[in-house]
Amino acid sequence: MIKKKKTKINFIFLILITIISMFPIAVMVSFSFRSRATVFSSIFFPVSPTIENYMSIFKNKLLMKYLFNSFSLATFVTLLSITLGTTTGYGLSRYKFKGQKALLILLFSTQMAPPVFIATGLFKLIIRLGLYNNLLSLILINTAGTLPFAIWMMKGYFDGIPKSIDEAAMIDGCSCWKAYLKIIIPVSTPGILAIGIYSFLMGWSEYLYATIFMVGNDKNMVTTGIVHLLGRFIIQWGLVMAYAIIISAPILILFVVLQRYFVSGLTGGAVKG
Amino acid sequence: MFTLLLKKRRKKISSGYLFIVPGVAFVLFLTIYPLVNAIKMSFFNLSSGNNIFVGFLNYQKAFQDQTMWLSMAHSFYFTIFSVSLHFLFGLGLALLLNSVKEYKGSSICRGLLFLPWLFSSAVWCVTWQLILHPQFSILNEIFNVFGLKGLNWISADSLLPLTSLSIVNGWKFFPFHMIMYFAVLQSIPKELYEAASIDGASGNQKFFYITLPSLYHTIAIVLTIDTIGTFHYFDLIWILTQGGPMNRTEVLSTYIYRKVFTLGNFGYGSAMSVILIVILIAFITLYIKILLKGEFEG
Repeated sequence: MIKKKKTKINFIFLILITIISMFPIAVMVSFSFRSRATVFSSIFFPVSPTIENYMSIFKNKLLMKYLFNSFSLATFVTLLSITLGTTTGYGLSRYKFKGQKALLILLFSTQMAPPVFIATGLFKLIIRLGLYNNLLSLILINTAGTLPFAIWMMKGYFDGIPKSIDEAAMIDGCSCWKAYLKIIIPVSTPGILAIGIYSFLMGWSEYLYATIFMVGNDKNMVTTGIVHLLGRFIIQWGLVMAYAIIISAPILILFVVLQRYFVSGLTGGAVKG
Repeated sequence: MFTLLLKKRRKKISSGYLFIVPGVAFVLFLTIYPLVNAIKMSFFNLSSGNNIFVGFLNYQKAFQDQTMWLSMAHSFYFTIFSVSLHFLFGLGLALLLNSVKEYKGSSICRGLLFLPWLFSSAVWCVTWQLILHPQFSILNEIFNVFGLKGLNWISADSLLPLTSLSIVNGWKFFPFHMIMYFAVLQSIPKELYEAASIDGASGNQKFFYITLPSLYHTIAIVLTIDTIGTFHYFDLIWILTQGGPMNRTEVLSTYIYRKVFTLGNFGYGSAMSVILIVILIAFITLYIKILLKGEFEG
């Protein structure tokens, strides 16, 4: 009986903390519905709420272009990470060689390299290759950032698929590539979804490299774009917050639909031990 | 027969390389190349347009640079404060979620608590800019309602701005810890607790002898990844304060960024990045040790 009462108190406490943790998000939502005239006339609830901010964003060609830029970046990063992550992960899972462990550790350590350092070291090369102000630069750098995790994750996933399945396929006359594409990939969908979501999220959140390699009014990503909105002389908070919600929507929708893969992808690597 | 076997084996290995090489080469090129290049640049004076070899001059300059030391101290303060917040809230909430998992609403709470992690740094910081703004801070408005005096959260000439930034960072990244620890807690077999209860263990004993030991490995991994990530974290500070006011929130990554990308001082910036890397390598070595330990035990 006492235990039940205690968990009830815990639950109420949990709800309370959840509500408090939603504070910044509540600010975002509340301000997105305020017109320029009423923006600071109340704290919590907007006075005479309006959707004019959302409408003006949908009509604003530049802000929509940023959405397109970020969408292209995130999509290409996702596709590249999945393609290279699965093949490399499969190779590392099925073919063992000397020094493999060292290679895996080296690969994983690269993820810890500070982005400001990578950007410094790559800047001149990017210019020389003519990739400055070219989305390809961001695609390549971001994929290099997400790939170690994708490889690590897929290797772990393939390790869990018995080798006898590939062997059976090869006895039936499949080449190893065919066995890989026709048999192994289809049964690995959950792992692929997990690394796909992760890569998309990383591409969508890209900020630092974008401030360096994508300069020009129509070259912004959604992240650099929304920060630019803050740089105006008079900040239109209603517009900024509405844009914040619009550019967060794709990720939030992904999260709601694919929450299971999201969490398993995130925790899969570390919890095994 | 033997040659056939050898041929087959060779074929197997070469197709293995075909699988492995593209991805590995991709990552290594885009990380090793900048590493080597930055180390090379750190020995040159590149700000004047022509490359002049200057030996260790950039490093000497860095060690005499007051702002560099200040930034480094700030990086440590920001990291220790933020990571402590992530850990305490992450672990606390994971335990809380685990204790009420039979309630239907608890998974909704878990989903909502996870939200801050999903927002991009840009969106998160823009929102906090509104909450902590020097002229019209929402937080100060709320303080006023309760009759409290507002503060200059990100514009005071004290340690307050850096503290505010640590809290904003703590608020964004605690869900990562929470979700990791929660996953472990769920994987602990119930029988362990039941057996302990039969043996007469108290709640505290169960926590210290069952719950905490199962978490150790994950805590170690998550803390190391988080420490490294937070130590070179850039977006949040750059968007909220750009290192200001008067270097009060300058950390190593923002200082390097300013030197390299606003002042064009590649040589000096590279030298400082090398110093940053050396600090991080210490953390990374620790991380690798933990990972290897887990693999041998697991």
